[in-house]
Amino acid sequence: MWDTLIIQPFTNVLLMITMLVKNFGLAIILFTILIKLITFPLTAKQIKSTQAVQELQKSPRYLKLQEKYKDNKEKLAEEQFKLQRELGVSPFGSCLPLFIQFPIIIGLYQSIMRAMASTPLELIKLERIIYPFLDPNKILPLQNRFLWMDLGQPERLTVFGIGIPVLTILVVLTTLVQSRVMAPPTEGGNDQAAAMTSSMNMTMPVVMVMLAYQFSAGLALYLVVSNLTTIAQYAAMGRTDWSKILPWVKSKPKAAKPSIVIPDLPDEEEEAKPVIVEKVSKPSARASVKRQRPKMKK
Amino acid sequence: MKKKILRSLLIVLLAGLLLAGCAMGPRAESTPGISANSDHIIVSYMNYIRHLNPVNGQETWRYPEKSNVKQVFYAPALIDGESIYVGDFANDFMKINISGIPTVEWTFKDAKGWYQAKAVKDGSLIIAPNTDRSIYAIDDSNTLLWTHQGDFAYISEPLVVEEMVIVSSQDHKILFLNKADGTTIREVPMNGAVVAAPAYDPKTDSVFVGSLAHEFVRIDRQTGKIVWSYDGSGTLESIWGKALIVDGQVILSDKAGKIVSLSADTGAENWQLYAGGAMPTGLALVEDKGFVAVLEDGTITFYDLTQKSVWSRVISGNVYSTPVVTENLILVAAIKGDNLIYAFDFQGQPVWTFKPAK
Repeated sequence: MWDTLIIQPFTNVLLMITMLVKNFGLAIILFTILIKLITFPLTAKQIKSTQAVQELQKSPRYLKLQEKYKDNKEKLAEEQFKLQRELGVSPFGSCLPLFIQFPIIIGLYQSIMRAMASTPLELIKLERIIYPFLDPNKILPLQNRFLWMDLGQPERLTVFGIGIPVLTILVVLTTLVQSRVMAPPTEGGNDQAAAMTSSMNMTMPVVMVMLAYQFSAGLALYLVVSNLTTIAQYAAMGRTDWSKILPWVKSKPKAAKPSIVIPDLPDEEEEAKPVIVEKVSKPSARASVKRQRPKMKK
Repeated sequence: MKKKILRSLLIVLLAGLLLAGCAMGPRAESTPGISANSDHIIVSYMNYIRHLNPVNGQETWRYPEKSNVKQVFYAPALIDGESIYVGDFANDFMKINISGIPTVEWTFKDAKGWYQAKAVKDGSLIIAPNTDRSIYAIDDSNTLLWTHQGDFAYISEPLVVEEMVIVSSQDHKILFLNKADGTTIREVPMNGAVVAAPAYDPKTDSVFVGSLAHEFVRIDRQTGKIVWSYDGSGTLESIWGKALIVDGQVILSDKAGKIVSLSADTGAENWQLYAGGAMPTGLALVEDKGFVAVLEDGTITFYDLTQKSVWSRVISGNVYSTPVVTENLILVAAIKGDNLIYAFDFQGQPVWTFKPAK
C-alpha cells in the first residue's frame, strides 16, 4: 500500500527526471523542489495557522481569559475553545498540514534511497517498481556521481588527505538558518511556542548531522535542497526575519501584517476593535458578521 | 501543563516518525553471502561472518566477536585453505586466518565503497571489486598492485583466465583487463547493465554472460567478438545469475523463472522450461547429477541435465542468493524466513538448518 501509493510513483517521477536531465544529483535537486512546490499550499496553511495561534495566545483577550478563569480550568478551556471558534482559529490547523506532509517527506527520502540501489537485491527491487512505460534498461543503473560526490556513499571532500563532510556542514548551516529565520518572536505573551521552537532548534540540527554524516550523500543533498526551498518559501510569504542571521538587516516591525485581529472582550472599557484582516480558515458565522475590510491596520 | 506535555509528546512523536521513516532498514539491503567447501561453511550476513560446521550446521565461531554497527558483511568470503578473504560495508577488505580462533592478518583500507561481490584469487593475486567504481588488485601481503577505475559500482564476482581479469560492468559492457597492471585490453559492449558474473568455458575459450537487457551472449575471449547472442525470440527476461557450463551446454536462468539450455558452441536452444516463478538468482551445478534452481518464494527444485525435475522442496523465506553446492550439501540462504540457511543432501532430504542466535 505504502509502496504502491507513495514510493512507486515518487521513484518513477525521480527516474523520469533523471532520464530528462541525465544526472541523478540534478534530478534529486529538481525532484525535491517539485515536491516542495506541490506541498507548498500545505506549508503555507501551516505557517498561517501557526502564526494565528501564536497571535491569539499573545492577545490581551486571550490573556484576560487566562487571568479571569485561572481557578477554573474547565471554564477556561471552554472559553478558549469558544474564542478559537469565533475567530476561526484551530490549534490543530498547524498540525494537520504537517501530518499530511510527513508521509510525503518520508516517501521522498525513501524513494531517493530506493533509486540509489547499490546491491543486487536493491537493483532487483528497483527494477520491479519501475512503471512499464519506462524502460529499466535505459535507466539502470543510475549514475551516482555528482560533482565530487558518490551519491550512494556518505560524502567527504578530500582536501590534503582530510575527508571534509561538506554536505553535512551545509545541512547543519541550512538547518540552523532555517530554524533561525522561521522562529517566532519570543517576547511577550505565552512563551510555550518559543520554548518548543527553541528545543526543536537545538535538536533538529543534531538529528540532521546524524543523518547527513552517516547516510548517503543523496540524502544529504536532499536535506540541503529541502532546507533551502523551505527558507525560500518562507521568504516568498514574507515570513522570514533575516535580522536573526544578518545583523545589518533591520528587524521587521512586529505584527505588520497579523493573521488575525482579535476583538477585545465586550465588557471592557475599550470598544471592540474588530476585525479579521486575513482569513486563516473558514470562520464561524459569528466571526463573519464582525468581519470588515481592513482599514485601520497597515 | 497538559498542553505542554501534549506538545512535547507531539515533538517526540514527529521526530520519531521522521527518524523511523528515514532510517527504515539498514543503510543498504542485501542478501546473505555463502561460500563453502568440505571443511568450511562461511556465511556473511549483517554484522557477522559466521563459520558453520558442515556436518550439523552449528556455529563454530563468528567474526567479529562483538558486532559493530558500521561493519556489515554481505559479500561471500573467498576461502583459500585456512584463510578467508572478505570485504565489508565499512570499506575494509580483510584476510582472516581461520585455522583456529579467527584472526585478522591484514586489512586493506584504500577503498571508498562497499564490498558486495566475492573476490577471486589467482596465485598470490587477489582481485576485489568495490562499489566505489574500482577493482582493486592486492597481493597476499596486502600491497596494492593496481586499481582499475570504472564508471559504476562493481557488484559481481570477476573471473581470472590466464593473463586476463574479466569483469561484468553495469556500464553496459564486459571488461577484459590485463592481470598484470589492470589496463583495459578490451571492452565488449552489451545492450544493458551487466550484474551477473561471467562464466568461462575452456573448451570454446569463451565467456558467457547475460545482461539486464534480455540478452545472453558468448564472447570469444581472444578476440572479444560476440560469437552469438540469444534473446529467446524476445521472450528472455533480465539475467541476474551466472550461467552454468556443462557437457557442451550453457544453462542460464532469467528473472521470470525461465531456464534455457543452449549449445555452447552455436547458441542453438536445446530445451527450455519454466521453473514456476520469479528467480532472481543463478543456478547451482551438482556435478554429474544436475542443477538446482531456487525461486524467490523459496521453492527449490533439482533438475537433471535433461531438464527433468527430480525433486522439489519449499523453504520459508525469500531467496535472492544463488545456492551453493559442496561435496554433499546444497546450501540455500533465505531472508525473512524461519531460518537463514537450509542444507539439503542431493536427494532433497533436509540435513540441517541454521538460524542465528539473537
